[in-house]
Amino acid sequence: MIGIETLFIAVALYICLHFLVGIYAYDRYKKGKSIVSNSFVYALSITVYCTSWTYYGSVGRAATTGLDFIAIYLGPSLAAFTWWFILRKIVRISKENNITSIADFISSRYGKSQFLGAIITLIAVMGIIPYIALQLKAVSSTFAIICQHPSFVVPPLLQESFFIKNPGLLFALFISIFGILFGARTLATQERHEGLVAAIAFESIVKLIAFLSVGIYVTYYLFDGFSDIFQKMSAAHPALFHQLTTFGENSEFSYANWATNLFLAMGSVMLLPRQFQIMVIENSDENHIKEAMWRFPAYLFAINFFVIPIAFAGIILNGSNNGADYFVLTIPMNTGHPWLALFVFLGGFSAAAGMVIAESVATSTMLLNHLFMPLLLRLRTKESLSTLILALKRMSIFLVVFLGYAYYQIIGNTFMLVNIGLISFSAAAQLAPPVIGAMYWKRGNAAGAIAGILGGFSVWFYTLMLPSFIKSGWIDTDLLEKGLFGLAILKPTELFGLTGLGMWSNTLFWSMFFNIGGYLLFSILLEQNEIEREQSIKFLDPYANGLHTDQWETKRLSKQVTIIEFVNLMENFIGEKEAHAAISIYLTEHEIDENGMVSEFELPSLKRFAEKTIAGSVGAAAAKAIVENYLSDIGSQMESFYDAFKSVRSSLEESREALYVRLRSSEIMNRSNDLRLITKELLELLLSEFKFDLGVVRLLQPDGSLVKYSVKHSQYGEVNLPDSILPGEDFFINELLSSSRPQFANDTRNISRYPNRAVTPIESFAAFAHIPIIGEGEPLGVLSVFSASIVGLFTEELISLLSSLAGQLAQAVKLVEEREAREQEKREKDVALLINATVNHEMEIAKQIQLSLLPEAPPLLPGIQIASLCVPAEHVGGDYYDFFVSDDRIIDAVIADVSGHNVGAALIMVETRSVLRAQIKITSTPGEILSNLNALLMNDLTRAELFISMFYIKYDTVTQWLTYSSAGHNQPLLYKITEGRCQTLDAEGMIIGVKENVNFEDRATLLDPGDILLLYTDGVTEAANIDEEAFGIERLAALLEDIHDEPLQQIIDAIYRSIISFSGTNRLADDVSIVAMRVEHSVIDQQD
Amino acid sequence: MNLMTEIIGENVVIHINEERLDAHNSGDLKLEFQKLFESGSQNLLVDLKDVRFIDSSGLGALVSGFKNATSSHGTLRLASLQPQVKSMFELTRLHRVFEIFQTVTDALGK
Repeated sequence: MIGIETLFIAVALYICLHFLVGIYAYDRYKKGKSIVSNSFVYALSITVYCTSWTYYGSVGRAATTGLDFIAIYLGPSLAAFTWWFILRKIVRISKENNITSIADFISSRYGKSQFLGAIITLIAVMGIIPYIALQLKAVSSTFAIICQHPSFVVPPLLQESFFIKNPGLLFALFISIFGILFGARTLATQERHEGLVAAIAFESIVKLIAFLSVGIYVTYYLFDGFSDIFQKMSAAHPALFHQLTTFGENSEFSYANWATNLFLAMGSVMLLPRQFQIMVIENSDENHIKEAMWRFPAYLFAINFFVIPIAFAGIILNGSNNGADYFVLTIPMNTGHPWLALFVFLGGFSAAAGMVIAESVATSTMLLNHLFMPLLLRLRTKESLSTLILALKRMSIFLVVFLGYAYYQIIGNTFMLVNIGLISFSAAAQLAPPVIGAMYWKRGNAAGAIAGILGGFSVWFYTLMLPSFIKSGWIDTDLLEKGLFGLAILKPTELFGLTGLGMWSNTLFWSMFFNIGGYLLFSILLEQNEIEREQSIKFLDPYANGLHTDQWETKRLSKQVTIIEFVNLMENFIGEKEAHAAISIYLTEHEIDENGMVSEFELPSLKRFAEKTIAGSVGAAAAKAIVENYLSDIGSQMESFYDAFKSVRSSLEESREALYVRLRSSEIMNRSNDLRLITKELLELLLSEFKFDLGVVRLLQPDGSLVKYSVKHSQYGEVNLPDSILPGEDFFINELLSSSRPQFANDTRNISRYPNRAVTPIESFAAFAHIPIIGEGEPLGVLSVFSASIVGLFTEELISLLSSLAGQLAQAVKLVEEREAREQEKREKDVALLINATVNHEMEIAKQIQLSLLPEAPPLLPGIQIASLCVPAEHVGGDYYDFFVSDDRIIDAVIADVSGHNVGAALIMVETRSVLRAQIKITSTPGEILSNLNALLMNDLTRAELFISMFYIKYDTVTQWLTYSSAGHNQPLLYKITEGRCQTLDAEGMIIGVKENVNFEDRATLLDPGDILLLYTDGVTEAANIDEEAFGIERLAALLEDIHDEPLQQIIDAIYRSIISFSGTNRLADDVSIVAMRVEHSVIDQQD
Repeated sequence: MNLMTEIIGENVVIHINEERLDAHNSGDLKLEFQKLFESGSQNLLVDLKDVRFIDSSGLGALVSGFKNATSSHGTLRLASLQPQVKSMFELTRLHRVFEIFQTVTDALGK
């Protein structure tokens, strides 16, 4: 037995604990030692998803409809897998754009539409208020159950007291105060509410432990584990047991219904306002998402673990499933454990409190930003609004909570309330298409989002809200049974004749049909306006923030606004301290001049900054309206800078001007091969089309230096520019060459942070751009253009056009380079050919001279006949023969072969001839001559690494004695007429040039008239055919024997022909020399 | 030119894996000799087992190698002469200059 005071004290203490946790967390946060900023608390806070609907309702559903409750938790667990992509992107976008709520997220993406924000807020309020009412009801009902139970003693005095009668009111009061204290302390909604989050995380722990305690108590204390419960259940209530553990039997647990629940839960976990608040707005670090991806599903698994055992145990103990919604509480009470019941009550209290706090803060933000602010701005109050806004915000929290309370009081226990969880989920699902489209479909626009949401929402209202009202008995049931105007086709739960799906699936199908359909249709049909396009880029690629907006400033304010004026504006909406803190951050990254002004060019970015800062407290749509109102009040507005493309209306498509310039430039490139002319004309074109004042083309030289190739000035024509007088010359171009990306400044007054300002005295240029000329990935040069007066000239379109012209120029440069390379190659080839021809010519001369050194004609001497032939294999060779006649009767003949067939061999041959001719006079025998030659030529031959084979004969026509000597030469043939066959001549003797002091044997033989002596070089016997077979001495001998009686010259010719035909296609590799001598008759010594 | 050198004891054996030793490849052989002499080798043994034909250029390469070997107090010896090659040496009487062996083993055994 527990006294009711104990219950009061416990609840009071528990509420105090809430505040302590909140205050402690807030205190730690202010000191910079956050206890909240970690993935564990983040994951716990997300479980605000599990409300009292989960806490009590899961068991209720499990006991009445069976397993379908799981879908509500399985959906989010599955959705958690996508968080690293989808949730992280949402978080990044929200941080970058100071998003304050789900309504702000959507309206901000679709052109900062106030209307869109307002609709979403209304839908959220409609969907959420009953949901809050449900939580209040859960707290009230459980409180009543406890109070009425015999295990709690309520003194009669108190029974009629205010506290006992109105627990819901007290709970609502507590929630409101807590929400205001920790959720609306200041105006900057973007600021995270660490006290709030800490309390929610704390509640999540309490509700989990409480539920697990009951689960363990029931499963292992009251019963004997899972199988015991299941067995007893199936024994006691076999039909119910079968129904509760089976899927897809009828419409309530049909597969379609199950899938619908799954889908709705997947969307709700991110799209419900409180979930968005906790997961996105309160996220302190994107990396926490990664951990939450498994911690959150793990929590859901744990809290659902004992749902079925508790449900079955309740049925067994209770005898039926009546009052199943409160089994969690009643089982411990009925089994005599009031303390556990008290703990369970606190757990349920936690589940309800967490949901209501988060939901009220999130919804109040939406109410303030999207309903109250637009109204407030209509009033055009000029004085500071910050106090009023804060008050409004606090009031909104009260409003939301007490609307819920009022709803609960009026509607009470109806069908409506029971199903409100899923009805809320269905409403939240309407936000899925515009949210997903916001991040992944560039074309989505406000009209589409509005049409989709209105369409989907209308279906939702008609098919879900109305039937709920009808079932609650407020409206006549005709509509439900007969359809609108009696048309069956318009029956809310079987819309357009779609039957058999069940209420939830019917709604989901038709609402998504109209929602997605409307979104796609209007987005495709209607163009985006400028803000929508700008926002879509930010949302599609939030990770590249800064690239999109900072450089491409195309607007300016028609009237200058000072920083102070912007600060004053911000003060009005976020408070003085916050405004000053914000602007000081801005100023650390930007420069101001001495008058407290930023440059004209920076103003739009300051305007954006102010807008974003204000958006942090009132949302993007309101902030936009605020800043625009303010500017129009002081007579300033955004207007376009000078637009180089007059016909372009901020479209990325090609303008007429751009097309014209492209066309003209390709004409210029194609017309000429002269790079100088091309660059000159290109610069002329750019100067005349875009009002540039100076254009410069620099080309990279092979040595790596950058040379001014072409310079054109609008007034002075082609000027000779001295070095380094142009802005951005050194710094920007170095940057450009290393990054290969265009470098430009739209307002040179802003480039003081670049070092070259001090170096370059001329600052008369207002804007300039350096565009790299890149061919096949290599920088070839730089195209630079300068404008003296037009600030903000370089838009994205112009830069991309200039880049493409630079690309064309790169091709022209490459073409010229290639042509020059080809010409150079041709020149080199010509020179090589010429040299070759000269050498050939010289060699031909050498050949002629060498041939002329051979005897012009064989000597005529009575008694003999001589013939000879020499065919060099190449231009010059090493073969040599000669004849010397002495005393009119003696003939000396020599044949020699210098090894090698080159000029060296030819020179040695000439030397040999000279030395030999000198020797003839002073020596007598062939052996002596060879011996002397060897001695004389030895050194030269060694140096030249050559040697000579030589055969020397001396024939006396009178005595008919032939003496001969050989220096390793091929053995000559001697055809003996008496024998009718050939013999070879040989004598001991080494080739010349190998060894000093060689003995050359002299031999002698007597010749007869008709004998033929055939001297030859190895070119004859070594001539080879295709099979590399040598002509050989046998063939030569046979041939000679065959034709010995032919005229001598004919014999030689026949031998040569025979060699040629033997070698066939094989070219002769060696010189061929043949000397033949025939003894005619004996000669009488005339001197005798 | 296709040739292989191996060091066996104090000798560097040069196996000439060509059928012909003529103007086309005698330059390479000359270079090979030069390289070996420059790297300090003194005793070369040229294995002519595969060479079926030699012309005056081929002889020239061997002769210049021989001269270089002699001038640096080394040797250049020949082994495994095919009949046609052998007759060339006999014709030019170069067999009186070179030490010629039946086989490489004979040459090394000595």
